[in-house]
Amino acid sequence: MDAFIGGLSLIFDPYVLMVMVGAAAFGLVVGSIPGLTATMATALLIPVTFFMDPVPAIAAIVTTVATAIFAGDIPGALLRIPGTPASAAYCDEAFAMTRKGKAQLALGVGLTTSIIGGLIGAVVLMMATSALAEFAFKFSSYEYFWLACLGLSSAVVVSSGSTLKGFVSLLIGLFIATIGIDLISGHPRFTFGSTEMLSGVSFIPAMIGMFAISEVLRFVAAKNNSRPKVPVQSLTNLFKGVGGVLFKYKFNVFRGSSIGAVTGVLPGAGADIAAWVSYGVSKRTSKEKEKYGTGHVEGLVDAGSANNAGLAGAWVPALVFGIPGDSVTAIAIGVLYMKGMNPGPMIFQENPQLLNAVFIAFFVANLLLLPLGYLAIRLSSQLLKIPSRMLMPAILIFCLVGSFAITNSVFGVVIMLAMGVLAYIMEENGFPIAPTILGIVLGAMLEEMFLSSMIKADGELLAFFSRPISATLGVLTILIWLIPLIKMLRKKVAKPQLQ
Amino acid sequence: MKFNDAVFGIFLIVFAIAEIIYTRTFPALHGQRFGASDFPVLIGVGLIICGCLLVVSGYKQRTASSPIEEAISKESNLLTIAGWREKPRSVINFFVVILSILFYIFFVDTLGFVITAFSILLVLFLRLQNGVVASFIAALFMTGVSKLLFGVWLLVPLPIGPLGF
Repeated sequence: MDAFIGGLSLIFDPYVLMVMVGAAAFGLVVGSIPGLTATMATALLIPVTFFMDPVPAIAAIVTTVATAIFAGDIPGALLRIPGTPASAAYCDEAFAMTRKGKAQLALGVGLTTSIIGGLIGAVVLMMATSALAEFAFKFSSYEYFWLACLGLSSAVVVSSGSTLKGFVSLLIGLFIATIGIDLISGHPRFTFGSTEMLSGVSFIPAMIGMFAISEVLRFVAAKNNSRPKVPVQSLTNLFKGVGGVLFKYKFNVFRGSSIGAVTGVLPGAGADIAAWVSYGVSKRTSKEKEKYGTGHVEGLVDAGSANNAGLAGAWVPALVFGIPGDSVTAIAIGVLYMKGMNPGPMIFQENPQLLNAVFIAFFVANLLLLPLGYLAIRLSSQLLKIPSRMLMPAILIFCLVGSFAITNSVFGVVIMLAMGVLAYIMEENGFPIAPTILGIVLGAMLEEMFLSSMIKADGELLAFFSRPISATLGVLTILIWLIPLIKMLRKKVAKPQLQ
Repeated sequence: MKFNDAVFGIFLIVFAIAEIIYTRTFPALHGQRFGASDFPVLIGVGLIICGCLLVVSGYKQRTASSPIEEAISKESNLLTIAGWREKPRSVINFFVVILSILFYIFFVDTLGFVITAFSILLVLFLRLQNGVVASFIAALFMTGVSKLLFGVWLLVPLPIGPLGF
C-alpha cells in the first residue's frame, strides 16, 4: 500500500502531470497525421526524456503511445488512411460509417472504447505483473536464457511477412548488440579501434534512425503523398449514441480488451496485431456477419478496445522479465536501462514506487484521453490540413539534434544515419524491423545468460533442460522454432494433392 | 529500391564469413573454453544458414514457371529500381535527405548549429515544393525552436559557429 501511495505521489506531481499533458498533445498530433506512427512519436520523444527523471520519462512514453494509438483512428475514419498501423484493421469499417454520415459515432465509439480498453489493459498489467514477479524470482540464468529466446522467437514468428526474413532481422539486431566492449571478457568487439564504438551502438540514435529517419526517407521517395480532403461532417456531439452502442456491445468491449491485453503480452505482437485478431474474432462470432465492411460499428468496438489494451499488455513481460512486448516497450526498456533501473523481478523489491507509478501512469494517460481526445477530434479538420511536406524537414532536424544530444557529438548522428538507411532498405525489401529492435535490446542479456549458463554447466547443453521451468520454456521455444518447418512441410504435402 | 532475395543472401553469407574470421582474434576467458567470440560465431552461423535459404528463395523467384510466378519474377530482378526511374524528383529528394545528414555530420562543428540547421531546413522545405517565403519562414522558425528546446532548455552543447551562435 505504501508503494502505491508512493507511486501516486510520483505521478500526481505537477511537473509529471504537465509532462503527461504535453506528451498527450504530442501523441495526438503525431498519431492523427498519416505516416507518422506511435513508435516514431516515441523515438522522437526519447531525446527529450533522456534529460528527465525516470518517472516523468516513462509517464511521457506511456501517455504519448496511448494517445497516438487512439489518434490513429481519426484519419482512418475521416480519410480511410490509418494514422498508425494499429488502426488499420478497422479503418475501412470506420470510413464506411463516415460515408453513411456517421463519422461522429465512429470517432465517439473509437474514443470511448480506446479509454475502456486502455483502463482494462492497465488492470491486467497490474495484476499480471504482481503474480508473475513471484514466479520470476525462481528464475536462474537458464530460465532467463530460454525466456529471451522465447520472446525473440515469437517476435519473429508473429512479425508480418516471411519468417525467414524475420530471423535475418533478429540476427542483424543481435549482431549490432555485440558491438562494443564485451561485458564478460572486457574485450572490444567490432570497434575497429574507434573509442566511440567501445560503448556500443548508442540505443537512442539507433531508434531515431530506424523509426524516424527511415520514415522521412520513405516519404521523400514516395511518388504521391497527397491526401484526400476531409469530409465535412458535424463532430460537435461526439458522444451521441455512444452509450447505446456500448450497452448493446458490452460483451465485445470486454472481449476486445481481453484479447488485446493477452496479445500484447506476446513479444512482438503489439497493438496492431491485437486489433487485427480482435476484429477477426468479432467478425467470425457476430450474429450480423454480413454487415461487416458496410459501416457496422460492432467490429470497431472490439478492435478499438483491443489496440489500446494491447499497449498495457506489452509492458507485462517488459517489467517482469525485462523482455519487451513490442517496439515501444523495447524503447522504454532502453530508457530504463539508461536511467540505471534494470527491469526484471528485482525492480519489484528495489523500486516498487516506480512500478506503481507506471501502472498509475496508464490510468491517468487513458483518463487524459477523454478531454484531449475529444479536443483532437474537434480540431481534426485543422490537424489533417497540416501538410507532411512541411513536417518532414522539421522531423529531420529534431532527429539530428536529438541524436546529437545523446552523445554530444556527431557520432550519434552517424549511427542515426546508418540505422535509418538500414531500416529503409530492410523495410523496402520485406524485412520486418521489430525483431531487429528486440535483438538490439535483448542481445546483451541473451549473451550474458548463455555464457554464464555454459560456464556453470561446463559446456553441457543438457543443463539448459535440467530445471523444470527451464525445460518447459526450452521445449516451448523449440516448438516455436519448428512452426515455420511444419508450415513448409504442410505446404509441400498440400501441393501434390492440389495438382 | 528492391533487391532480389539472392543478393541479400550472398551479402549475408560474405558478411557472416568475414565476421566469423574476425572473431578468431578475440581471446577466450581465462581458464575457460568460452569467450567473447562464441556468441558472434553463433550469430554468424545463423546468418549463413539464413543467407543460403534466401539465395534458394531468390533463385526460385527468378526461375518461375507459372504465369503468376512469372509476374512475381519480373519483380525479382537482382535490383529493381524501375519505380524510381518514373519519379526522378523523389530520387533526388531521397539523396538530398542523405546528403543533408552528411552535411550536418561534416560541417556542424565548423559552421555551428544555427547556420547548418537553417541551411538544411531551407533546402529541404524548397525541395518538397513549399513556397520560397514559406520555406524561409519555416526554416527560421524551426531552427529557432530546436535551438531553444535543445540548446537553451535542455542545455545540449550545440556547436557554436563563427558568428557566435
